[in-house]
Amino acid sequence: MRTGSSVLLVGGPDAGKTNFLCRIWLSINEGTSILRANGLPEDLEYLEEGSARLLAGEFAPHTPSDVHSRNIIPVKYEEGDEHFTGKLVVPDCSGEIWLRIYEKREWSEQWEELISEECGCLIFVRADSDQIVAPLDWISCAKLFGVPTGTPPEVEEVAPTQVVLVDWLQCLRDAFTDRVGGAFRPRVGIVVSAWDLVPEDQQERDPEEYLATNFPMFQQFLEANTVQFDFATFGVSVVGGDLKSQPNFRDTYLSGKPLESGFVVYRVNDTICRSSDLTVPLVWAMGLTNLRGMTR
Amino acid sequence: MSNGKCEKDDCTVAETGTCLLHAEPSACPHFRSESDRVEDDEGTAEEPSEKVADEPTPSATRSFHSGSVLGTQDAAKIMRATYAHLIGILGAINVGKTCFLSSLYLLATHGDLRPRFLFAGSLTLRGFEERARRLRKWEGGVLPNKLADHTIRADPRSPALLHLRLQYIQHASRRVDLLLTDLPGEWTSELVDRADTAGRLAFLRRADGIIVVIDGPLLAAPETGHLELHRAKILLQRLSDNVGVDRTTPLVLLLSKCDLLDMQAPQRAQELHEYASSQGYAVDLVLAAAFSTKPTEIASGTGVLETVEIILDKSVSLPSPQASPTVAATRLFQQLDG
Amino acid sequence: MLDRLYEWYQIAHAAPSDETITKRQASVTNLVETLTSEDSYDLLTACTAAAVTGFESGFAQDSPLVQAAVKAIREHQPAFPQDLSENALELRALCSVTLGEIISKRDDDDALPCASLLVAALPMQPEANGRHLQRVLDELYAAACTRLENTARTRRRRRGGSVDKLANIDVPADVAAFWGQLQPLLKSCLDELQDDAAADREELEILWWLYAGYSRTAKKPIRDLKPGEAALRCGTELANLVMIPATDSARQMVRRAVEEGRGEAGQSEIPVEGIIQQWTAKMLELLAPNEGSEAWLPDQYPALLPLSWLCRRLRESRNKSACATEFESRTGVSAKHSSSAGDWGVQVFNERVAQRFYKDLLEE
Repeated sequence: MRTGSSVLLVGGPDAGKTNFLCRIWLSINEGTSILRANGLPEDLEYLEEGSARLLAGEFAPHTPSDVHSRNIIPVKYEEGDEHFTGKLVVPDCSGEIWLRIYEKREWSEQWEELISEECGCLIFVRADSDQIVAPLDWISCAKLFGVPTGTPPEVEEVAPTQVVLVDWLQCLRDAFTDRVGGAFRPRVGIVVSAWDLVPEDQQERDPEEYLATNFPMFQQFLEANTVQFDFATFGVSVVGGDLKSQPNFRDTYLSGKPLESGFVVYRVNDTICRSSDLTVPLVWAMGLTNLRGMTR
Repeated sequence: MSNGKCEKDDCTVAETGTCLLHAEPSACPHFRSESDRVEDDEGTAEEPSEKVADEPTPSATRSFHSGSVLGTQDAAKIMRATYAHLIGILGAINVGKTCFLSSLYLLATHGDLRPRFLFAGSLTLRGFEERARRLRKWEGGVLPNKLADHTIRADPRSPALLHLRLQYIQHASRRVDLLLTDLPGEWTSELVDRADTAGRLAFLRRADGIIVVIDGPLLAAPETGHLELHRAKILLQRLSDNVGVDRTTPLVLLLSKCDLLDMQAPQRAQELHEYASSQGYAVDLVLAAAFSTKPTEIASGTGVLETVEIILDKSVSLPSPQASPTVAATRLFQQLDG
Repeated sequence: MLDRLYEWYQIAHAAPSDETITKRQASVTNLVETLTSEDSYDLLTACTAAAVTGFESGFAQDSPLVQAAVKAIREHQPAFPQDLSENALELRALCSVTLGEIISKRDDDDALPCASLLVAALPMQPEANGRHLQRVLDELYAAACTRLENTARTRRRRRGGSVDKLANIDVPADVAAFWGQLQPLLKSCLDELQDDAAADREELEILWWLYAGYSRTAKKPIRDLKPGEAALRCGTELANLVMIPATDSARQMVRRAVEEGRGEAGQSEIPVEGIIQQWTAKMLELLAPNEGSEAWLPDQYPALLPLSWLCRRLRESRNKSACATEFESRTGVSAKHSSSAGDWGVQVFNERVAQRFYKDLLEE
């Protein structure tokens, strides 16, 4: 029986990785989630710093670019026939580090050693983030090709978000093939964070539809690579609203029960499920559930 | 040539000076230096004007594919796993070869490969991005002389291959890997003028399709059209006679910038089509508008995906030998034919 | 087929270097040695299946053939990836060249069963996903047909010569010495006569069978049988009559027997799912006989003997629709794949001949 599991949190700047991590830590520690604490981590500094912000009605600030926090949480899980007691490793780092992996085409031992059969991934993209880079559109491209040779380009060399997302997945596939084998299907959850910022009429829909509309190339990659990966898509709101710009929400949040705030949306067969247990994506990425048992 | 060699068997740093994994061979843990002297390689491009890639991080454990372009050795990584369709794209300077590639890429980024295909991946996303943003242009001066073996990180503009993986929607288990050439227009022009330049295009004998891009407006215009037609015919002959491309290889004559012609094929295009057919080519003519100047009337990307589909759908087998027994049939019983 | 190595290897490499080709030549030589030195035919059969269908399905990472092929390459190129997800097509190229080399260059009979399997399997396989890969398969098929036909003709060549030697023997005074000289000549003479007689008998039996136009297993004239039934009965009946390897003319006789008297209707194409509707449960034994309890080759590699696999499956499950669906996933051949009745007869013939090759191997 395995005693360890790791989940990589992958995403660019402002993708919502740290807020998610700190929020699920609060749930795990409080015992309000299906994944429960089995003692305290030895090093709580990073998790507590972010958690403190959330409990004070603030989102965690941008993770500095030199930060790489390993986060080892002792956990236990019991549901039906599935049991797990062991250490969950959830490294967190700044989004710039993941962008650097895209740019420099390499990563360090810190990531390499995590790639195993016990490793799952959660890839984050935040709805409505100003860090999202749209793909080149036809009109801009046409202008570029109409410009005489030698004229400086009008657009910067910034990779569109969906291109980076696809590239990360291809790199992860490379690493898993090399370390675990080509037949292994790693679990990769796509987390659309700040789901509360998605237009209301779309919030009760499948998060994959959001991806298809906003990141069509990425969504097609997911659809076409189900043999290579085991994918699931989640819409997550860590506190259920926007602490920064939603009028009165912060007051409501602080005067209520922050530890019960937030929700996750996901599809099981043809049903869209909504749960207040934010560890659902994590538990799925750990391979402890196939979501069908989590339709409450 | 480098002053050392690599422990990895398939790395040719000793011959090319190019490390498979790092911009600087000395940074590679597999590189073994022998001397400090570096010899010049007469065949390589002159120093690129773009910034050299950053020094690799000393603690880097794994290097991923460059993401930019693929050389033939890099492409082997894809090809040894699954059958890849190599598509050669030829044409003079500024006819629209890069437009075609960029247009195909934009169709993919906007999810417009449907209803037939899904985007299933690409190991050269950065390469497509760079081309679409016109951030990579062929520099003046000495052009590279051959298709790169490996991705040369310091010179991502070497003639090389771009990769696109598609999945059929109707047959979910069917995928196709496309390797599309990105070659300087001069290579085409020089092939027309001199047969002795055919050697660097020898890899096209493995092509599953050839796209010959011809400037539509230039072909249509009276003052330029005759020359365009003349040179296109010579190119087709060079391809088979000197490069050795089999004439059963699916060939698409792609007429570019046809939005400027209101998508009407000029008579010379039909003439070229008929000429190619008469030469035994399995040829189609496609009118394309990779980036339309009238997008409300003629959509950008017109003809682009159609070209790829023609090549993929064309099932023209290479000529293969029949059974040829060497032992004579000595009895009538053995000579009954079907 | 080492002389085709460069062209065949292009399916896995656009422009293989001289160094790569040299290494692969050595790998092919190693793999030929491995496959032909084994006591059992399993590896060579697996190699045949891999050439026909590829490694993408039906082969696990730790299967003996995968390990042997990777080892053959790594002996000359240690950095070659071993994961099937990274090297499947290159291994297929290696196996194809190896098989081609065994079939076209080796004189021993190791080549014959796998050549027979290629002839049975390749015509039914869907077109390959790439013209250069299809060329490899076409050339492999041609090489297999050539080898089988050459062997078939050689085996049926009437020899003679020993009778003349017998007539010219010097008779010594010593009886024992005389017998020592005479005996081998007599034996040789009688062997030749026996072989010639066998070849004559084959011709007579086949020609009578063809002339009579009568199915021994159906006990009816062949023209009275439905086209699908005629294909199954004629293919198996003639395959059981011929010496193996069969000549190509025998295949033409099957076609003639099936098509005789049917006119244009005999040329119409019948899909797999249609032809099995014309086969009764009893008929299936013709191509899926109960021959011993050893692992049956079509069960291991359905793509190599697809109709044989289908007949066995239909015997186990009477649900023809379900079997037709399973047929596609197991053999790679569509249930809608169509051929004329004559061509189906030839396919049945080829498969039954291949079965006989393997039955003889097991009995050896």
